[in-house]
Amino acid sequence: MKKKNLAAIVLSVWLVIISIFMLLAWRIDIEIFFVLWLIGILIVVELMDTRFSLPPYLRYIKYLIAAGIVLFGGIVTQKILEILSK
Amino acid sequence: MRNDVRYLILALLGLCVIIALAISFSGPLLYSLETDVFPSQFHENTNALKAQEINSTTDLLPLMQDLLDYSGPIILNVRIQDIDQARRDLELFAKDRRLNNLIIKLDMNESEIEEFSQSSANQEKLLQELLNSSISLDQLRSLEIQYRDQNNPTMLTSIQLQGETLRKKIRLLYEQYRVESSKIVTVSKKVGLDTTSQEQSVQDFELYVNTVDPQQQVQQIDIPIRRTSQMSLLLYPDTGSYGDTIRCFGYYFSLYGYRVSSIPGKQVTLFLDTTPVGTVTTDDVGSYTVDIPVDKITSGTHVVHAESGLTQTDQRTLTIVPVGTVTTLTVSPSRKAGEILCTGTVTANQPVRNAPVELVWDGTHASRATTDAKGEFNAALNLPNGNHTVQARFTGAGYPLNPSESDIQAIDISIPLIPFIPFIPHVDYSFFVYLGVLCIFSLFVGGAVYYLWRTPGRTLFSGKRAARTELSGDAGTEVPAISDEGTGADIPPDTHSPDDIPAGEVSLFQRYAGLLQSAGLSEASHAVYCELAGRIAHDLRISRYRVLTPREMSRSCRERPYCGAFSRLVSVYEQIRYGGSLSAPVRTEFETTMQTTDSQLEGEHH
Repeated sequence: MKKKNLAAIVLSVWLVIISIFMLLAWRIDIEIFFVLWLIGILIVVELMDTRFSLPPYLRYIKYLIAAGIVLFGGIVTQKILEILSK
Repeated sequence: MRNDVRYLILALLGLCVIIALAISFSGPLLYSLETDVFPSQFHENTNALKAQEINSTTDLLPLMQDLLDYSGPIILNVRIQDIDQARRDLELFAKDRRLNNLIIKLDMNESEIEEFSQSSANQEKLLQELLNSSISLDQLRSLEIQYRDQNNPTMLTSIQLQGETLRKKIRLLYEQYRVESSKIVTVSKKVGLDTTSQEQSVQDFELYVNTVDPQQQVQQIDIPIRRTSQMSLLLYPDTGSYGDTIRCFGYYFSLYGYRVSSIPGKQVTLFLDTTPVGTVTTDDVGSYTVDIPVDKITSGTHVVHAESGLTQTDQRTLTIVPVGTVTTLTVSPSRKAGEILCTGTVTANQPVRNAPVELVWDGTHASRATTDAKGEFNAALNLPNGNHTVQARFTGAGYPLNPSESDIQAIDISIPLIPFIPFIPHVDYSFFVYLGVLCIFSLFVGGAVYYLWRTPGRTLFSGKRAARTELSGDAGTEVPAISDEGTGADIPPDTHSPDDIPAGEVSLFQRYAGLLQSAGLSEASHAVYCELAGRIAHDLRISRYRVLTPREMSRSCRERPYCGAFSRLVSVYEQIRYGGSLSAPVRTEFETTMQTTDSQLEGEHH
């Protein structure tokens, strides 16, 4: 099985697990879902990354991760502002 | 498995997750009573627990029966005037908390058993009030006899009015008791308890109400009134509410036959019930006026009369109507650690002045504050660390005002990171806060940029150096060495790189010639290719040029002037290196293309 197919399956399973636990806990939070997705994709990409080459699909995923990090920064900033406003 | 099938399965899985989320978003049903099973000790269905416990005859039912049987004897004792026994029974009733504890333990907060328990608690409060009212009624009866003996019409009237209020209250208590009792009987019958005692208690209560009800009583107070015609009294208005002013005025006069003569300079004292509320002196025409502000006067009917020596006016009735109040509360943290400031108001269409306000925090602790002339109160509370709730309560005791409570305010008391320093002036830190937040966000953006541009295996601070080292072929290279003098036959080919020799000291051709003699044409051509490829990669900013094949390398420099010469060199290099062609023409061609490429590359750099 190709690495990129394996990565997609692993990430999907991870998201399904998160969804199931959210359903069991009766707490569906899109922010938590997003952060856990980001952690998952970071781990997957770090494990499948190569040293001397950068396949195009990996480059696109990294762009996606960079956007995710910026969004995560936005969430953190929002939380800080919420705490400060209390 | 084909890729299409894999992606199809993946898409189906994702679709299932989205549908499951959409269906169960509002209220996911994890368990149902119909299909309830307990697969492990960590599964608990509280709905099933409630159903099971209602049918339990071992734990709950005896406790419920005990509570049912308490109220009957209490009411019976009140009815037969055995107050001491009633009080003892009520204490036992109040102390019995076993059912409540069991409900909390079994987490049955929304069940019918909880409703039973709540009604039982309400009954206990109603019975407590009934007992107090019954005692007060007895005391009033004793006082009535006493004042009748003293021939005191004022006090007799006052007692009569108080008695009426108490009887009304007892009747109201009966209505409430009957409602709570019906709830208890309904639940008890569902679970098969004996409700005879409870139903009997309602009947006893009704009999008691009929006994004390003034409509049923034939008792009439025959007051031998001592009338005087020498002083009059009028109230305007005779009905008021909080904040109003009641004007009481009259005349002091004497009758001489058919003539009426006013008497000035007489001291007149005005009484509200039995309390003097003002003393004035009659004016030239014998009139007097006293204003009674309706402030701290209980609601209901009051008797007003005036006295001057032995002369009394007729009794007038003043009705005070209760008014609803609104209590507000604002909680803010103080600059002192652990302290909060509570501010608020009590209003009843107008500010309620000098009234006591209870500040209850966490529902259990209370502190007192008093409103000022504007109806505002301020108080500081010292609270321990943690989350707390604060509520302001105005009981209205002694005022013609209904009680009210503020909204519950939540506040978090935590230890400040920077201790309070009193001499530092207050500064608006919002700009710095927003700057800090912007910095944090910028850090994340910077992290994202670094993530994109970083090279695997390269650290942040040694990035440039490592990159340069890689470009020069130092790390992990398989490039055979080129001797610095061109004659380095004794140097192993795998321990040196072309960059070991400074480019400015020995030319590429000299190094090639040296390596040609020591290691042969194949190794020499490889070393030349590696150096030229390194220089081109540096020019084109290709970081991973070593993983590129020579042909890929030649394709990547198409827009450069040296690309043609380098492509020809690559072609000859492939013949030598991979084709094994070591003939003199090939060697000559390689040397020619090498010199051309080298010179064009140098020209490009200059």
